[in-house]
Amino acid sequence: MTDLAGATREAGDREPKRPLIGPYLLRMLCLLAILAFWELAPRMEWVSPVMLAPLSATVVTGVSEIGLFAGNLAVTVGSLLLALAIAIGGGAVAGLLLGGIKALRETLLPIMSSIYAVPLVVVYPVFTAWVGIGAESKVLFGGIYGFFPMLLATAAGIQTVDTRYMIAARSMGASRRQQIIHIMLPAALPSIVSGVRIGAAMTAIGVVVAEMMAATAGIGFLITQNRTMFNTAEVYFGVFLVLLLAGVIDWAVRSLERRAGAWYPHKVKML
Amino acid sequence: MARLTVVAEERDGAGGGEANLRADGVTHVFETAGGPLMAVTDVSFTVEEGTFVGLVGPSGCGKSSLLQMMAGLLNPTEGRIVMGEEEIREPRPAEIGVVFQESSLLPWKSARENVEFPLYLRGVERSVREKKALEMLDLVGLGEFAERRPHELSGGMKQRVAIARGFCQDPSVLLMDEPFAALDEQTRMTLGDELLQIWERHKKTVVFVTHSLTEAVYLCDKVLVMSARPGRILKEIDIALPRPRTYDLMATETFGRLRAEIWELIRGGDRP
Repeated sequence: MTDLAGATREAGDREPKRPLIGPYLLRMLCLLAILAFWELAPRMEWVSPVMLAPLSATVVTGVSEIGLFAGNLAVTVGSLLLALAIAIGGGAVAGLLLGGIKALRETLLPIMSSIYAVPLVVVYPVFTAWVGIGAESKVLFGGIYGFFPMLLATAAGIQTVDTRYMIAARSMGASRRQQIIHIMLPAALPSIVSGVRIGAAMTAIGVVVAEMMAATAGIGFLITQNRTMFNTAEVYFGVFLVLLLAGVIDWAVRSLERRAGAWYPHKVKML
Repeated sequence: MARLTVVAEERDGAGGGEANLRADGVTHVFETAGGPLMAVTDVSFTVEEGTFVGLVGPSGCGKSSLLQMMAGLLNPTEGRIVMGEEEIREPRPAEIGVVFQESSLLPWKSARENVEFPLYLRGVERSVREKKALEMLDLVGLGEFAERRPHELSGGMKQRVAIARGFCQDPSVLLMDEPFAALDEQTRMTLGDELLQIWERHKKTVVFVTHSLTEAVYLCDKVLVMSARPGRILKEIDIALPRPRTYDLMATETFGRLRAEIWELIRGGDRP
């Protein structure tokens, strides 16, 4: 043990070893390599161009049909925002109720966790039978897809509020309402934020998958439609737009986490 | 039940101080999965207004339950807690404040916001409560740390904030549930001294639960010694040491004798 500690100290005393290239540069290089592969693999016929359209062809196609893609992206984003309202808003309210009210928690919470474990995609055909294949079905489906993780995370956050805080607040004369607003909600915030992270991602998946399975517009719809026609470049441009959308959601959630983290230090963990 | 009537008569006769805190034949039984569990049984005592009273006893003897009952956070199964003339059945933040073991500070609030929280709950105006909170933080020597969050403070500093919060609430009775339990001995001694200094100035009634016999003798006017569960009061020991208390008192024979007496009681009470 002492030897080890000594060795570490010696190592620490020496000029700190700098890696040849920093992590940021390395990340950029990886990205560059992937992009290069994307361009070269189909061109050099390492993979069939039907399987993978070269990067340049994908971009050219995307730009030439930008109106079509933008229109469908707008449809997807619009559906996604509505679905998020259902998932995050509805999930938060339901989570607060189920986490905070014992009777509801004991009866409904186990059912909710069971439903969360079911791959809901299998019931999408039923959905379309009920509400058609327009925007409503994917909004509803995406909303429900993200609703359960949001509900469960919120309920868990409310349930695990440190009782010491509650007792202290009670001793200081906090009313039931004050206990909820000033203790339960802030204490549950880290869990609620992680619910938003998972819930938002699931909602996006739900909306795009719904579009791919049965819809009349949207990026998912465009991807499926072009795939059946072997328009590989269009398919990849669609995929690229979905990735972009995921990136924007991730960025939004991260800035939310940063705010929550500044407000509630060391309990909000980045996933 | 007969006992309760006797106590009631005594009260009518004696009158007593306005803010005397009394336990009259208090028993508390917890309903647990394994059946009823008696935490404390038939506990009676009086804490005189303005005195510093210690509550000691082996682990799990119901000290904390007793304190929670005095705070109105828990109700006795039998008997009652009375302050002045009124029975305590729910928290009374204006009259009874609690300082908890370890940190019960809210991690998302700064030291100042934590200290002014009880005033906020009472609807005290912002400028007034801020001023009062800063005053209290100055009192515990943390004026400069007012805007720090609990996680930026050491264990001792956190407990200072908790004490400042207790005094900011400005109750006539302050119940302290092992407030220094998580601290090292040096910090604990320093904080004990500081607490005494504040107490000498503000003269609140203090009930102080502790594991440390030295702390109990050093701080208190009277020490209530409890038995193992179900907790009973074995003896009330008057600590006839002069105030203000100083460290050299610890070396005196009286101090040693009092400490030994409490230890004997606890050890003896532990035996079946």
